[in-house]
Amino acid sequence: MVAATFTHLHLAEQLDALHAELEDGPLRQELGLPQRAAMVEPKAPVFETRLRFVGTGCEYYGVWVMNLLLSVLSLGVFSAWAKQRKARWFAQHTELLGDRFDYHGEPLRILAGRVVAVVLLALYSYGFLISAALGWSVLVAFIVLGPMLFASAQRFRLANSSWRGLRFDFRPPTQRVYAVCVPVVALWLLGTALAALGASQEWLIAGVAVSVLGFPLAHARLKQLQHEHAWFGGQSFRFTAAAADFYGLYATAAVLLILAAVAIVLSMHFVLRTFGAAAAEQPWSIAFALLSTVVVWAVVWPYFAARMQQIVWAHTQWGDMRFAGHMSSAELWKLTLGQMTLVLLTAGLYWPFAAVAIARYRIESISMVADRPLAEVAVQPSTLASPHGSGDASADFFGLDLGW
Amino acid sequence: MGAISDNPTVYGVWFDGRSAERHSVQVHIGSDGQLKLRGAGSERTYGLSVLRSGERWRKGPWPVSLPDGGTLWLDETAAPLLVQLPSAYQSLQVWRDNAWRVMLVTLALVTLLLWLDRHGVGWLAQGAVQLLPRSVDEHLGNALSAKIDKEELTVSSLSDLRQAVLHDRFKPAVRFASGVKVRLLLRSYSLAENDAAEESLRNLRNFNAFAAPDGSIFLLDGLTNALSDDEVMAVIGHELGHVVHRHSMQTIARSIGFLALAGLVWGDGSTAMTTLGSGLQTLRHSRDAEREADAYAREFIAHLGLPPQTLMSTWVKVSTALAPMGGTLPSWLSTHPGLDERIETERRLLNLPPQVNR
Repeated sequence: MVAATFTHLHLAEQLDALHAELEDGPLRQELGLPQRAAMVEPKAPVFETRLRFVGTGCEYYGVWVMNLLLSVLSLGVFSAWAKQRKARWFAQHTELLGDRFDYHGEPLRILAGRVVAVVLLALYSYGFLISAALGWSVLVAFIVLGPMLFASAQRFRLANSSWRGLRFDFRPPTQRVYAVCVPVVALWLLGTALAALGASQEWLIAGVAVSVLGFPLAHARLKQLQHEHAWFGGQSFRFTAAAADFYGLYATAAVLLILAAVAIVLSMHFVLRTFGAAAAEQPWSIAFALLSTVVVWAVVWPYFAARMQQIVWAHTQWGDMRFAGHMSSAELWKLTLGQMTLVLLTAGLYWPFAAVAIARYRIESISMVADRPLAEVAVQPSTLASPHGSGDASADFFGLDLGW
Repeated sequence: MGAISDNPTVYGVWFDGRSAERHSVQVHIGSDGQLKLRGAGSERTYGLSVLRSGERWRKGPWPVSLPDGGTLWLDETAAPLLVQLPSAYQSLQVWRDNAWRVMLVTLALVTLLLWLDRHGVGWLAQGAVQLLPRSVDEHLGNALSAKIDKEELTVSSLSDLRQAVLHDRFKPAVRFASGVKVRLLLRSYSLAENDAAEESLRNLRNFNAFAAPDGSIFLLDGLTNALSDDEVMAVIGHELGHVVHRHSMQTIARSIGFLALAGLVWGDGSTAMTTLGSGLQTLRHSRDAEREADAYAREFIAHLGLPPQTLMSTWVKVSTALAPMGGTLPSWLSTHPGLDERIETERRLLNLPPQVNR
């Protein structure tokens, strides 16, 4: 986005020069037009700032290690309070125009959301094992309630984040939520539904293939939903159409993944040849496939994430404020690889340092651009009277945090 | 508390909660114990008890929530003021900012995780399973065995005589496992079109015995044909051990436990690492379950008055039959202990000299 602005400036300069030529220069004389005082358009100034992350891995380690100890000792109950501490730490160490962000999620709400999530996951995993009726009703419930739960989780995250005392929000129209989410949920559950119907191997593979191929499109629509209906301080965000860019990125990622899948299948074939047919029956072949997936993911994900960030922010606006993403795939890949290696070498103890390093890179690569001083742009008159949370009844009912 | 001069004036940043405008304000706690903000063309007063302040990190600024929806941000210069404003998680503060205490917490965490991995998850899983009545096993097992029987197996090709002999020996023998419903199912692995290509794979799949949680013990023809009647009873004893000790339920409970543990440890990290980690641990407990079933088989054989080396000869025959079907896997990746290990265990228990590995 910044590069585009610079190009715009360059063109403007050329037009100015041409205009000046015409007004005062020899060209005007040649044409026999009367002289006029030079009128040079003042160049439009561009104001840009970036987010700053001021936290360090050392500081976060102290928070993280106690979180983990208490979470394990409490068999997971403390994890809701742990999430609140973590979210607040990251928010309050992120700075924009000299002021920090904040997080207001209540631990009890987070806990309720986690209990619901665990119950749903258990029902989904073991529903069909208990009875076909239960399995099917769980699937139907997912499709009916899923979109609202997703929207609720999004809203929880945003409405509990603030900057300069103003909250963010997420207010999508209900029909939009269902129009975008139902296909996603259906794709996700396709495999389970086919298995429940006792479909043969080929149908199951076809189902998985459809899910995998349809996912990029579904994800693109989800991202659009998330950004289009996000709000800050009474002013909504805007998300300009980005379909072509999304498809291009997903297509590239898909090609990379297919190549990787082919490589994995070939190596599995080689392994089976060496260890004999018996190897296919053992769970270790699944372990090998999983390890390969981790490696592939570690290579493809940084490229995907960096490009995705650039695309999404380039199409996002808030009032007069535009955004730009400056993550580079190479940097992200190096960072992720290095950090994850250290995490593995330290059996996980390095994790908080890695989380901070990656968060810092991602946060500090977002810039805000405007044609007026950003401090002015940020101060938008708010049409909202309520400063704290929401009085919306349905939001309270669904006001659960289902993220992890 | 102190004289008026002990209540200094500091500066903070105040937001009214209705616009993003930044106001620098003077803050001090008056002699009446109330917090006063002066700035932005107004003076506001708040009782200290209605102010809410979250966890305060080592470095500020830190936000203080005001009841009217505004927020006041104070930094280190406001330290004397902040002392009078309690923050959340104050008891954790000293464990968070002191390097020695953090190391202590790390040590406690690592010890706890190692213990959980070794013993804790196993104990918790066993406890959880004991809380579940056996009817749950039967219910889950019914669906599972019906599915397997319908889709993968077909009628046994053993002679009617042999089948009758085995059933006749089965009924009185399984009274050893009192209170547990069991039934014997002699089957053959059915030929599916996509398996027709690999004969060795089919033979491998037919050389098997397994038990479902509802007490259905399946013996497949490949195995039954290779073993004597006594050795078949040994295998039945092994499978009975699985049913009696409720290994399927234990596996489910344990895998949930390990998944949760790995999820907490690898935290926000990749789900692949979580699945991999918990998968490996589940395999280890699967091998322990197999050893437990072998021990039950030994008791079963003794109870039936069969020769004590029956189990060993079973493993020797299985090993011989499986040898041409492919290489062996490293034991840490396998659901079962290696056959060599099982044969050696029997030799040791029978006080026979160990055989030199070929």
